[in-house]
Amino acid sequence: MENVVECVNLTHYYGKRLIYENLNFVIRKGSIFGLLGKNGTGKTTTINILNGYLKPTSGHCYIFGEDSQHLNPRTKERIGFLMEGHIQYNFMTISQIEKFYSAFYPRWKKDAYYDLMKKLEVDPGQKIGTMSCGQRSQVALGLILAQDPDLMVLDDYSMGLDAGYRRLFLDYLSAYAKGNNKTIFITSHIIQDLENLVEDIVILDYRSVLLSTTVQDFKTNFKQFVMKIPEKMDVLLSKDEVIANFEILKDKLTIYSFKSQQEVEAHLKSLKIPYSEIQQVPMSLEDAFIGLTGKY
Amino acid sequence: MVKALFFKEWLKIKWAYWSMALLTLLVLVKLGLNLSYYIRILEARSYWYQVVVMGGMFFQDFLYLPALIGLVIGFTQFMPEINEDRLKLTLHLPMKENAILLYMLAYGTLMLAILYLATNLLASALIAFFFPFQVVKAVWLSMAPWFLAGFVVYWVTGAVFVERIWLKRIFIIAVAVLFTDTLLYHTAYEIYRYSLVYFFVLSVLWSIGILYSGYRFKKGVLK
Repeated sequence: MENVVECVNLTHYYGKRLIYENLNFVIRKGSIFGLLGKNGTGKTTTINILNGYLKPTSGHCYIFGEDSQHLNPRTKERIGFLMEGHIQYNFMTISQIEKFYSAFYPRWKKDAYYDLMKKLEVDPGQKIGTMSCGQRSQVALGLILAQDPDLMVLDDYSMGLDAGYRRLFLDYLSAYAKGNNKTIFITSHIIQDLENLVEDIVILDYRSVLLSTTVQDFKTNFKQFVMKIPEKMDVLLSKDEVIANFEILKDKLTIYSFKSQQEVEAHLKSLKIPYSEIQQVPMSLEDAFIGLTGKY
Repeated sequence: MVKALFFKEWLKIKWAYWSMALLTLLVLVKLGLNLSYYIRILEARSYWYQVVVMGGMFFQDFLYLPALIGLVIGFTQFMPEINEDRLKLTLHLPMKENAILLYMLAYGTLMLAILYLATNLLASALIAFFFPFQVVKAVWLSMAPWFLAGFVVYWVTGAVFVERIWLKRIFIIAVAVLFTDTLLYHTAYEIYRYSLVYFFVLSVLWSIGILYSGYRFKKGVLK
């Protein structure tokens, strides 16, 4: 299958601060790809590199086979970009901004934009700068939908949105992606929203890539085991090839692992951990994300 | 596409532009009233003597006006682009990034040129009402570097806004202040009569400064 985006050995430093090293991922045509990570792990950095606003310290990103640092206008025409915070031209009105962008994109679908604007019940003469964050997000989404791009790059679409606007945004997004062979690259810090949307994910940690997989594989292979341990007992545990992460709260030990229950139990026995009542607890994508990356 | 880009630029500057046009009109009215007043009070012969023989520069109200207009138009045009990194949206438009920046600058330059030209024509008409053509020509040649300074201030404002590092901004501003200060010399009529063309060439070089700032913006130089 054709790859729309390909990032190869991407490494970036801000001054001496390493953001990440050797980030590799591909985004297949027609897929919805999520770049997940806590704040400050490099999600926006990656989007800036992809859009050609940032030169990586080393490595390359290719969009539609072109180096992202030198995209030609015809390629840019095929990419829809949502800036973090739904930034748009605040000094324009609803109708002015539509008129402005329509001149740049040959596949412009005016109706897609105005259908969404009708739902907002805003006057076409209203300035974007006077709108609420939720309304602005719909303007930004409407503009991208009207552009009808082959690739959408959405940088933290959920920022500042309440649950209703987030749901509306995602509903439109999945309807757009479905059956149209469109590719979506999305980042968000609200993982629960993405569970039923994204297919492939990369999870970033500070300075490194934690995981690159599909949501299905992640949810199937990454497990949470909860067990009891004697309270006030010093348990010497550390992350290793079996224990991806763990938490101790009073007499409750939670272990996150990619291994089976038998392997985890064998490992705990070898470490002489006095556990009891072990059970595997199902996880949502958000649980799994927090389990892997930790709460802090 | 270029028309749409110009439409965006107009939306940003329109209030500032009309305000500056009004200010210019007020300065022109003041010039007309001053000329009429002094000719009536001092008598034409004596005022003529003061202007033609003594070299009195009765149009000094125009000294800083073009630079002020350049600064205000540059500010209103580029500030919204830099605010919240909105320039990223603009550079994402399906055109070459350098072309986008140059078109933006060209639009501002064109609007300034229209305002400056109208100012000069109206000022000339006023001056020609009281003085012979030779004086009008001398005023034109004396004010030309001031209007050139207006363009330089505008181009520099664009480059400074797109630049991300404060130290570089201060450096650009410092060099530009020295340069425009030279253009605003006004000790006598037509002091740049023979060197105006060289100053014109040097001034135009400032217009491409935005490309360097734009290159650094695209490279992701840290704020």
